[in-house]
Amino acid sequence: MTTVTNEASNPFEMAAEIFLSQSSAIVRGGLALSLSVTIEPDQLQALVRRLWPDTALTEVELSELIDWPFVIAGQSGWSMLQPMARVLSTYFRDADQVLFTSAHELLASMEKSRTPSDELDDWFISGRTAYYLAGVDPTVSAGQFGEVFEHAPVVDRTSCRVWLAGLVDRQSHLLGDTSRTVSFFRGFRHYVSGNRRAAAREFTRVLAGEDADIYRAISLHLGALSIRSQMAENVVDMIRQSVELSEKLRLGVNEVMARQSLIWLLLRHGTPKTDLISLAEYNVERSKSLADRNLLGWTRRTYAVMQWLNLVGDTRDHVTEEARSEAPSLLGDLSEALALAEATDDPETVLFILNDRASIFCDLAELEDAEIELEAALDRAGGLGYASRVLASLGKTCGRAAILARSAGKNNLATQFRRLSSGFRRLEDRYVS
Amino acid sequence: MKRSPAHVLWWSRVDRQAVIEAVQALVREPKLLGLIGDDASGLAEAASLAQEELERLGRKCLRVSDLDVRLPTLKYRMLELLNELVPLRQPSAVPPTLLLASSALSNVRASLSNVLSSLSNPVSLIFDRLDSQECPRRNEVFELQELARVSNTPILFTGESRCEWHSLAHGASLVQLQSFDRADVRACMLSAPPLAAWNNARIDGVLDRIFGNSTRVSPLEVFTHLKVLTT
Repeated sequence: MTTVTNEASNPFEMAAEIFLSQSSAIVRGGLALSLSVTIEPDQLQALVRRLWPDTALTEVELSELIDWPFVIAGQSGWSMLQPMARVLSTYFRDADQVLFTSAHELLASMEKSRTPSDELDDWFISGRTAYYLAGVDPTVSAGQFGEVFEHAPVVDRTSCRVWLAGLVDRQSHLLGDTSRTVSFFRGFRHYVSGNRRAAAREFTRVLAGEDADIYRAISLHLGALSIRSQMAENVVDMIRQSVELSEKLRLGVNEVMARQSLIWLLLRHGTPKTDLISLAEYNVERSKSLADRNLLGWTRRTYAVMQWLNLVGDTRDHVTEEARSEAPSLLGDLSEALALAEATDDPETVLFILNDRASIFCDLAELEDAEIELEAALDRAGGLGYASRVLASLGKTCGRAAILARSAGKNNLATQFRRLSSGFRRLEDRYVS
Repeated sequence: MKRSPAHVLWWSRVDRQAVIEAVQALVREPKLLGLIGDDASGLAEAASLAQEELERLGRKCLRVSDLDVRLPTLKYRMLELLNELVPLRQPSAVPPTLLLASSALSNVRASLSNVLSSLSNPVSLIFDRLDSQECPRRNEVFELQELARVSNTPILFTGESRCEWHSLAHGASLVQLQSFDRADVRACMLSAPPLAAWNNARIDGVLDRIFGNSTRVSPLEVFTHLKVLTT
């Protein structure tokens, strides 16, 4: 019996020992499968034939292989449970490094030769190619993973990037467990899970390197957003650096995202609104040039809000005639941004925009309209699914609206706003607990 | 070549009475049922047993795993189910994946609820490895529960123990898959044609080899040993 480790210490190592004592065709089929994201049975047969010309994986052996409890099948092909794939691929590499590399080259080549069914498919192919390149040239693979991350599809961008992060995690033993690439993707997963402290730790590791690359550009942005005190001096500086490096590297998506964060941060630091309006307007133009509907929704929202804040000031307690006459146009801009956020399935931005519209209606003392926006927000917030600061912002707007309603003698309306406020607080509790 | 979804290998028929009973309850009162375990707990095999029981009880089962979709999120899985169900009713329809790809999950769920509710032969659904990418968000599990409630459809999912299912899926039934003891495995061996004829001493010898000094063993280890014994 071939030995995987000196002493099988987990179920997968034990199962691998038994598996590796099977016929050579079955074992070779399993070794090839352990390297694949997913693979069709006929491709697996072809791969085994190319790697071991004296071995044919027959139909009988294929049906034998699929019956092993760690082999799984679906419409996209066959795969292997990850802990088992890790044990077998490590065994493969230790047994024959040259063939191990050839197998990855062949898998990368098979992936590149696929005809994509659409743009999304094309992106997935690039992701899987980067995955296989990790077994050939980790440096090239790391670069490609970064490229694929930057060009993630507009719709479901975060989910697609999390999928990519999963591929990096599976190849972390080849890319280097402590490499900047692996740290970056781990940081990203923590960031989207709301685990900001762990995210900051990983991004700090990325930034410890000297390379002025995509990983640095994005880590400067997301790392800054992961720092607990957003008013800390280095936060603005890090995001500025992220924008500059993204411009230099032509990372349009991160450039727009980082500038977006910068505008809101500078607002809190008291930067003149006219400067923020210029930045926001420029960001709208940049997202238009990228033809990115999701970013366009974000940037148009920010541009409209900055213009409004410039008209009403920080205290928002005096609405001039000029502001009153501009309001319909800015509310219309926000509606268009809302439509873009809805069309790209971005529920958080939808809620931010409804909150912006409600706040403007409060400024205008049009409280009935504010209630309509906040009701719509509560209705949709149930589908958000995670804790977001937008829920706290909506709660604050409800509180302010309730005070305004009471002052105006609209007690029934004030009660409605208090009900809405409780609704947002309940959701926050549900997501946080 | 694909493993048939209904294919349940003899060696995976180790006692899973808790799963069978949970499925029977699920058909009586359609809602959400989760089978929870780790990678070595035989989740896929337990789901296959559940599928067999669902179909025995007259509920055709539609099963969608992370390997059936481009992106393993709940939305893409629901779109895949819609693709599977809608052409049966309207052959000329545009695939829902195209129409609804940029829609919110709640809209996709509402469409799927409508389709499921209108089926003349009600079905059941299995979502394999619901957490294959990340633990699902609360709203995703909520939508899954809504799908079961609104369309009166039994829905089963499998997932790993690392996710906080009790917190994520309020009101759902959860079955934690246990490791096996000697009695479980002996019962399984005695029900398998190739091994049923063995005498007790020989069966004990195999059990000694599987269990070593342990009193319980992971399903993956048991399945691997038993598969080899009859290959």
